[in-house]
Amino acid sequence: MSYQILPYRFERLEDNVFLSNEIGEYVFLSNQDFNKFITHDLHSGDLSFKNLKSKQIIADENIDSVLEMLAIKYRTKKYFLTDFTSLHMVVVTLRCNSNCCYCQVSKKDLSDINFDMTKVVAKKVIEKIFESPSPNIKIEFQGGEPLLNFDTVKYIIEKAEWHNLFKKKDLSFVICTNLTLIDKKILSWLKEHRVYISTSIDGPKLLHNQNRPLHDKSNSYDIVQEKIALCREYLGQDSVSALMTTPSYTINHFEEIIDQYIDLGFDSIFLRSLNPYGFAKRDKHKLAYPMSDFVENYKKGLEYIRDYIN
Amino acid sequence: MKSITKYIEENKLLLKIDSKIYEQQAILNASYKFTDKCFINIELVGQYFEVYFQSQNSNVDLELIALNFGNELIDQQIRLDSGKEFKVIREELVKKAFASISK
Repeated sequence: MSYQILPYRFERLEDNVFLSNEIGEYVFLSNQDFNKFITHDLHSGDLSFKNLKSKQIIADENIDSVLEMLAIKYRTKKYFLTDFTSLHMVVVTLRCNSNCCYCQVSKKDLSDINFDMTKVVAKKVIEKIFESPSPNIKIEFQGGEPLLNFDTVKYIIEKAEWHNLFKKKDLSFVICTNLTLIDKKILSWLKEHRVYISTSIDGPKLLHNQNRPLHDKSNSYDIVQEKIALCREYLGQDSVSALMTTPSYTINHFEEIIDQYIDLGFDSIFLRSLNPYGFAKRDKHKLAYPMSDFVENYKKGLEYIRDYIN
Repeated sequence: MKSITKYIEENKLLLKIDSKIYEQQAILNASYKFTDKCFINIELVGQYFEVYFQSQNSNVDLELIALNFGNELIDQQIRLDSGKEFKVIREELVKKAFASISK
């Protein structure tokens, strides 16, 4: 069979071969069909031939128009290059006052101040961020617990606002915090600089405290609940968003977690699977689960939300 | 001489690979896939690459390693060959994709 093979990559898996191309289209072929594909022995009636053709990995006619289509899809996929990066995550410290079981960054102890970003580095970070041609710049502070290095957070925000007097971009800030250290003074400052807050709620009190115990063993759930109310009082009802992370012992509790979010006055939820980094990777023997388990429970969670809305 | 010649002795394996058939990059890429099972050393002797494998534990089947290495080498050489074959098309795609932007 006469056909043109277009740019592709391949990787052999256990029982088959994975092929992908420049635009992220992909096909799985049996080993036998992969050999036929390489040696140009696939036939136009073969299912594999049709799959490869529909994904623009091979072409048997109008090759110019197929290349044109590939170019259009490539342009769409790489469209972010026209404006370049708009979201910038700044890790101002790796220290944290929580001992979350799944901590992605393998947080450092409160005394390890060498893991704080210095103002010298922060200045360079800001300069780099404003090199982006994007008209929108969002700076998200992460950690560790960023409020442990709040001086650097303030420095970056004030510097960014100064740069933006000249750059005139749509500039916004988010701080990802466990909320436990937030107080009225910090909130007043955040309000003045229009900083949004993202936090973590892992569900009802028992689950949350199990996943996200504080360094000093105090009850993190009660503190977070109280601080959410304080944030809303200072910054407005929609100023705080939250997400959760799912270790193995949480996976069957999505309904209770959704109920908890509703009780806390949130109108959105992010049911997030475990990321295989940091402590989650180190302790995967007790925290991890097959992704199929997550998907199954995620679907149940969606159905539960749909029923609630209806 | 064959494209790959095999010598096995206790926990060691030597593969002599004809550099006229397989490129150095293909041999390096293929070798990397086996570094979790064997300690590997590569030398160029005349026209042949000599790839020395020493098993990291007694469960490693060097006969099987030799067979799998042959297949992996073919895959790696196909990747290199297709990379060269598609170089012009890939460049054309990028040019075409961003043509309207660069005008």
